[in-house]
Amino acid sequence: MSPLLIDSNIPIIASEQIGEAWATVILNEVAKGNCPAFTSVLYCLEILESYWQQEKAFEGRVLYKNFKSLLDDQILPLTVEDFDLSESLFKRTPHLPPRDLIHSAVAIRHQMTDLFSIDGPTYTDIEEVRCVTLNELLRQLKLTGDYIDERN
Amino acid sequence: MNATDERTFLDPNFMSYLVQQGESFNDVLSQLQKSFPKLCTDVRCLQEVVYRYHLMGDTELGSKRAMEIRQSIEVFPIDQDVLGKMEELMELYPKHPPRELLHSSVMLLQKVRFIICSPESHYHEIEEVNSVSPISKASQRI
Repeated sequence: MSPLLIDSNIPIIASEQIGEAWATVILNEVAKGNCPAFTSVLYCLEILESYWQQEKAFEGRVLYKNFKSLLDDQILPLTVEDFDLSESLFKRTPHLPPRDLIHSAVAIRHQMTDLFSIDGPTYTDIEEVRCVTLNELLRQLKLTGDYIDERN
Repeated sequence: MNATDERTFLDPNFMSYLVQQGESFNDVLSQLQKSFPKLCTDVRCLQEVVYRYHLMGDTELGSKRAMEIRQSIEVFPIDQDVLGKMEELMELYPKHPPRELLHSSVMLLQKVRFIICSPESHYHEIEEVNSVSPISKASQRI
């Protein structure tokens, strides 16, 4: 299977505070080496900033460290070239939020096409990337069960 | 202390602060470049500019302004080394906003000692960096 670029919203909804079982299952598959995956420094920062804004800095740091250690050396940097590409994407798709554009730019520049995020519908407007559905991912990982109904 | 002799980091929240006070963005950037010829920033700052304008409903203007900064000054990347340095700072300053620790980490790794920032920011609490808020100059167009 193609490597996934995992959005910060996946560890956030797998966290103790939200506790979506399907997100935990996928991250466990990543930990077991069954699901090749990357994330980016930007996604890692989003975890810290999101929890900071909710005045839950400590919980944010714990989740950030766990997520970062899960993907360890598979964390993509953020460069000025990524920014330039996100600006080009903006000219093509000005209705998309800047967040989606910069994450898509990071994926495209690392030849990654598959994103795993709960923000699926907006990413579909960028032709170079696609958001993998939970159904599809569970099939690829040969997992079935109750998780499908939770998400789809 | 004269910050103009060496590289100086620009947190664009300084520019937002002055624009809110009625200054022109282009004038502020131009005057900053004259006063601080070795101005630099990081790519997350550029993205923050876009995002700030997006929240105000004018992503196109945010994009334009971020690109003006990008084309005018040196822009550093954010990588795993930056995250590592930020984790060190988070231990020292657990209650500090993550974004300021991030930009401070870039500065430390790039050996940039001075940062131009909004007077409303909290960089002055981070011992490892020196904040500069040239507001008095700004009132005379910096």
